[in-house]
Amino acid sequence: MSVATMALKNLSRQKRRSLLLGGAIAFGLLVITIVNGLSGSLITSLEANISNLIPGHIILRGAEKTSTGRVILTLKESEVFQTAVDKLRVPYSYVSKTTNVQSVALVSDFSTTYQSFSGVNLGQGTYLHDKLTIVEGSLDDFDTADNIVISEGVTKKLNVQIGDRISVQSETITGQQNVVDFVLRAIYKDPGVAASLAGAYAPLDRVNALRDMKPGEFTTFGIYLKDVATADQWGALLLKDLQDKGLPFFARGGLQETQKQYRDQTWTGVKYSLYTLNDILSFIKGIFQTLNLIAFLILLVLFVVIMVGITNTYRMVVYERTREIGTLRALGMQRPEVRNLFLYEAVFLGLGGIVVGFVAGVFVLVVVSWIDLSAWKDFNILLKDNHLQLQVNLGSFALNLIVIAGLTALAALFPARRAGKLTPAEALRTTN
Amino acid sequence: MKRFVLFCAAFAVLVSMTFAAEPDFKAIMAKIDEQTNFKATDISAQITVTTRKPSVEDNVLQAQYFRRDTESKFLLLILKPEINKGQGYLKLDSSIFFYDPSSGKFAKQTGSGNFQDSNAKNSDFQNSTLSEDYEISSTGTGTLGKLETWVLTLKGKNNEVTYPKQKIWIDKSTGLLLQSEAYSLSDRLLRTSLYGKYLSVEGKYIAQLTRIQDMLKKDEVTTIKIENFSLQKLPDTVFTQAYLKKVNE
Repeated sequence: MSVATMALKNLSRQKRRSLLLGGAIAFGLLVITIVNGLSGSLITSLEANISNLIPGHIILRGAEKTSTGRVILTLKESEVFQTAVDKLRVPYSYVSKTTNVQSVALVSDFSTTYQSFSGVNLGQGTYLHDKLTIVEGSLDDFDTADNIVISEGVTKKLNVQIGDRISVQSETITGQQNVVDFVLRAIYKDPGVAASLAGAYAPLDRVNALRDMKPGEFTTFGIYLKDVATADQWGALLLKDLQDKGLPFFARGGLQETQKQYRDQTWTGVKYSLYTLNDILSFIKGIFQTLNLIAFLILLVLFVVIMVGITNTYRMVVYERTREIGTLRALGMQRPEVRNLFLYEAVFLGLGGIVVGFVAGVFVLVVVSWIDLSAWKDFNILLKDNHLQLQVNLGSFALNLIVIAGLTALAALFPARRAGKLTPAEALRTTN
Repeated sequence: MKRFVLFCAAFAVLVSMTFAAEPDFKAIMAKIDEQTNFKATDISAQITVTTRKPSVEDNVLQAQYFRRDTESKFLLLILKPEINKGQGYLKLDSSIFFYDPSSGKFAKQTGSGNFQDSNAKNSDFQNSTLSEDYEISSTGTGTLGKLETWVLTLKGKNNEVTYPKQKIWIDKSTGLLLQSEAYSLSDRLLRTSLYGKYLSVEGKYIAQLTRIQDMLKKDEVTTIKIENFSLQKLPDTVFTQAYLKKVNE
């Protein structure tokens, strides 16, 4: 009989003890599997949903600074960007030219609300046309008139219906007050907490008129990639290529960092900035990563406690089985084999706990992913089709498996070595 | 011959009267700036900004107001409500900085940006620059209550003024601004402002009460009340970012 088989048999001899120790390990893993799964699910849904609401997965902007210190966001042509995208063979599904305004006042006959506002092309086959979930009205021939599309939440705030007039008040690019009237053409599904990011959409040239920009101009060149996960990689390559062409760029950073550079720097002509979806989501992602880290630290603390338990348990086991060890040694089992017998027991116990905890965690995630959360309207940006996405991180599982199996073995090492050091005569003499 | 001389004399009087009746509107506009800008001293006062919006409680905000017209600077330090206490607006040259003590950071704002959640613009708190920013596109007369007024339509000299077009009513007897209408680039009336309770100090005037009626957002009104007016010279350090940080320590 091999040492490993003996270890497995020994575990089954003390069922209650094995169950309690393995259960503690399983519980720890259950918790971390659920936390990792939920945060992974929320990030994935958030990425997918927000990428529908922002002007691209990779975003290029141009800014001019006037002699009075005013920063004007404007791009007059996109050929240089398109050439770079084509040259690098960036795998994109759509490129967009949009005019984005951070905050405008949407004014109806009943109420006023403040939103971001984007001038876009919402024609057939465009990214937004396909991704926006229209709940009322239609996007057909949207680009040909003074149409506006807003979210369900904003519709409620403004107390408007399809066909109603909405006045949009904003500053022009040079800071003058302006107002343009639009007609509510379509309402899209409320993105909940991300509503301010989503805002309202209207045809590009009408938003340009509001901003006192010429027809055909825009503020943002956006690239929607086939794989969102590659945004940073392609963003870095694109930035390098454009810089090599001599285009001046602000240092990479988030939106706030670029605003700071706008304020602190002086330049002539157009200076460009490049962001990716990750730059925009970095804050939210940071929260989830911190949550994962906290969960991992709690797990480590839990396992330190479990390790102490394992060490004590195995000290007891060695004490109880001293005569047995003596017999095995007398029958010819070598010291390393005796030590390994206990180590195997501990590792098998750990592995059993890990597998059970992981399976239980996945089961909980599956059950949670079945729950219809359509009533959770404010947070539907974190959902996919009103459900939490089932997300199991096998990488994290592998890491946990190695760490926990290692810790369990480490915890049992001291008693195991002690058992291995016992001489047969000494062990057989004990009266336990 | 006698008749001819009389006719010529009458004609000359008529012509001179006609020309005398046509005032120098540029000078009238410049007089508004001249009468309300305090070039020889600084201003400090307490202001109360009350904003009335439908279906919500009135928003009352109190602030300490410092202005130095020679350098076109102002500083507004919010005292009430408690949630906004310590926030400040500082205008230096053409830039307006908003300070939020909770973040400890300054954010650049524009003159055409709204002051807090009111219908006032940040530029409403700076010294009058009408003659610098606008040219007269048409003139006329009118009455405002019992007062005889000049009515001037103004067009922005550049594309950076908050309102591309304004219509102003000026008291004929005092040369003070009584009312203004502000229009958007698309020529939509955005707001009507009434200026009243002028306080005369050392030959200069300051409107102690300004009422701004938003013409786009129905039934939204903001009043700006100026009290405890003082002309004492202020230290240079008041008009600095460091001052806003220091008062919040």
